[in-house]
Amino acid sequence: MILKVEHSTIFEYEEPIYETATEVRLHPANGAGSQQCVSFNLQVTPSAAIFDYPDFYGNRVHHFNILQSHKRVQIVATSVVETAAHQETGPFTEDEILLLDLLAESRYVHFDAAIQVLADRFREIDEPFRQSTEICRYINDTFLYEPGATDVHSTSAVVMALGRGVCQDFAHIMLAACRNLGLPARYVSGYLYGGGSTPEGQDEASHAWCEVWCGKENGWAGFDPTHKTLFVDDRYIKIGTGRDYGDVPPVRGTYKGTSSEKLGVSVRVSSLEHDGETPATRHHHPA
Amino acid sequence: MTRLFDQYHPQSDRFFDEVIASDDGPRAHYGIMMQRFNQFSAADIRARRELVNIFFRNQGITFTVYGVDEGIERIFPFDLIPRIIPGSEWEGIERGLVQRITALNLFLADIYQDQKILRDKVIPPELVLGSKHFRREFVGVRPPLGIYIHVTGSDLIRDADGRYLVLEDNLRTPSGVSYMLQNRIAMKRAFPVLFDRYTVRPVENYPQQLLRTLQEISPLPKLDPKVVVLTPGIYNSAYFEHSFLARQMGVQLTEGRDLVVNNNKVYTRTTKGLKIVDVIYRRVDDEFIDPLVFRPDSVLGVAGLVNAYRKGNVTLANAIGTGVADDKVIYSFVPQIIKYYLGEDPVLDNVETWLAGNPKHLKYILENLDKLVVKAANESGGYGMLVGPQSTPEEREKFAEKIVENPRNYIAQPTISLSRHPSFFNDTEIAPCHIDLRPYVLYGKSLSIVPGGLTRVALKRGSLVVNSSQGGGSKDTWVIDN
Repeated sequence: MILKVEHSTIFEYEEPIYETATEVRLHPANGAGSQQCVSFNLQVTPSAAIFDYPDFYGNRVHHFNILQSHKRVQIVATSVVETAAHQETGPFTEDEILLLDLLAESRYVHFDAAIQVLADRFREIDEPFRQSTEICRYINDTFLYEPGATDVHSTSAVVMALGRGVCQDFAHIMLAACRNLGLPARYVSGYLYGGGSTPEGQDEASHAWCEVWCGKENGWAGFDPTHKTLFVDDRYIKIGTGRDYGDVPPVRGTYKGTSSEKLGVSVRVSSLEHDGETPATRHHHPA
Repeated sequence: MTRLFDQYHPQSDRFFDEVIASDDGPRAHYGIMMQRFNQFSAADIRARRELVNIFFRNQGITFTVYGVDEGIERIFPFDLIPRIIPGSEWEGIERGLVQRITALNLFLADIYQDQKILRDKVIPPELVLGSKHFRREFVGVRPPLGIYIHVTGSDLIRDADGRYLVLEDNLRTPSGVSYMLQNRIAMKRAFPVLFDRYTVRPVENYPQQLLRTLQEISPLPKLDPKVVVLTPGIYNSAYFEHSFLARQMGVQLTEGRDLVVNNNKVYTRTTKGLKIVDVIYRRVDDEFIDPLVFRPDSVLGVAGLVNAYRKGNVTLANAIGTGVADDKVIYSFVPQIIKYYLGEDPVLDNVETWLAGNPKHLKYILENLDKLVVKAANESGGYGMLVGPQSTPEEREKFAEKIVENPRNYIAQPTISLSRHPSFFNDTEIAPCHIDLRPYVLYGKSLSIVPGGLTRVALKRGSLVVNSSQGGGSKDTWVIDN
């Protein structure tokens, strides 16, 4: 599919703030698996010079700063991405050090007692892809999707105790379970094209899921524990990957000033192939 | 009149005494010093003590102790009896440090570029990946000249045979060099005659050497690169040193709020507007240096600094992420690191080290807690450690729990009988006290080492801990020509 993403982030302040420094991870991955980023445009208001670099996980990071005082910053990323329904075929290679890095605990992915019990259910399955699939299905069946039950800083241990959460939380649980079983697994930040078909209340255009290293033959396989379909297909647009959410927050920044911040995010994903189809549009306000 | 050294009992059979050899005679290079001190009356000593105290107080030479309620700012205790190292002995130390620091720098360059040493399985990769100070943010960044550790201070001790061993490497923001400089001034004032009897190698030009090193790593070759010192501020235990070094180098002392990043370049705020900064001698830890990349709640850093550094628009000394190489677990691999990069055997040996992360070692550690010194892998300043022989069974039990909970974070070493040196513990008497040595190494276009360094002394009687935060003091250290 050819999909267009319009991702707008607005920060508003009651009093003027100054010396904003911001980093964004909004550039869709290019040439990763079956995805091509056809175009990308980043606009910042008030205007600022934009710089970029590739981070440790190969994600393209853009950053800018605004010295003068201001009460509002708008960041609009517009990209066109071509996705394919079928994965490329192997054999695949991956950096051995990176794979090791994706086996350990990380900021939001913990090996607590509860996750070990969860992982133990799947320890006997000896094929990585089937193992991952069953873990994914189990999380989707067992955990309750409930926005507001957790926040962006909830760890996998907290989510295990609550038994509920959102896509980010489900991804963290799946990462913890896979890594605990010795499967290198990474967090994926991205978007999901809803196309109007996803049940109401279960869809956010901004999305998070996992990729599990399933050996040289299968390479990185995408799993989405949030949706019943379980497998990642051409509706999924990948921005970047990391050990967990902490490595790929879409926007993060600092500023000087005493005013508190109000954040508004709107993400719109539309297909450029089927004219007239309703685009999936959601607005959400993370805590 | 009793002479000072008449009541000195070195117990040379149990400890290496720096001054008195085991046959009870003084070592040759200490002969003149002993003679001179033996001529002093108690009143002579008191007068010199007073002179030194006034000097330190006037200079405001203090340090801050964390974790005590009383006045936290203290005068760093200074001992009047100098430590003397013969030039021939110093040569070996120097050779060992050049080798070690060169290898550690190559290790950092490798870890932050190709990671060959991990791929060759010389060091288990998960130890590096799991190190608290490994900075993924810095992978792929190449600092000017390929140098990561511009200012270092490895701690050396001597065992019962007088062999110099490296106890730990300090590759982040080692402190204490200002005490080394002040101790020398104090000593020359209080003991001018004694000082003149030896040919003591000078240390006074350290600030100029430091400045030159910092200028050499400027991102662009400039006639007069702008260098600043970045301090966490007045509440930091080494604030005195930060301001002292800035003053000595003639550069600006800044805090995070004095600097700002604009369009990937770093500026300092001056009365005439923003002025570009080329090199930052930073005494702020990685975690606090850039709230955009590391701890977002830090008010000590500068937002955007790491990106400016990555772009090559400013140089930090030391680089980001150098702590991965002074992690106490990685420390145990330094002999292999030297062999791997230089193909040489280490000149200076490590202290034997057991890793709690290794199941076999862990068993040994837990069974021998009463004999070992156990340290947290990423702490410094004597915090988070257990000195087995001086601990109670309850303390050991508690510590054992901590070790088992997080084995990667602990190492153990035998309790080394550090060498001892006569030191005053009141005006009229001297006793043998344990000492170590922190030489300071500068690494720019070339490597240079100040002759001597800071000798720290455990002034609490019987104590093995020389850290100033734990009741240690210091001595002037003389490297003399033979």
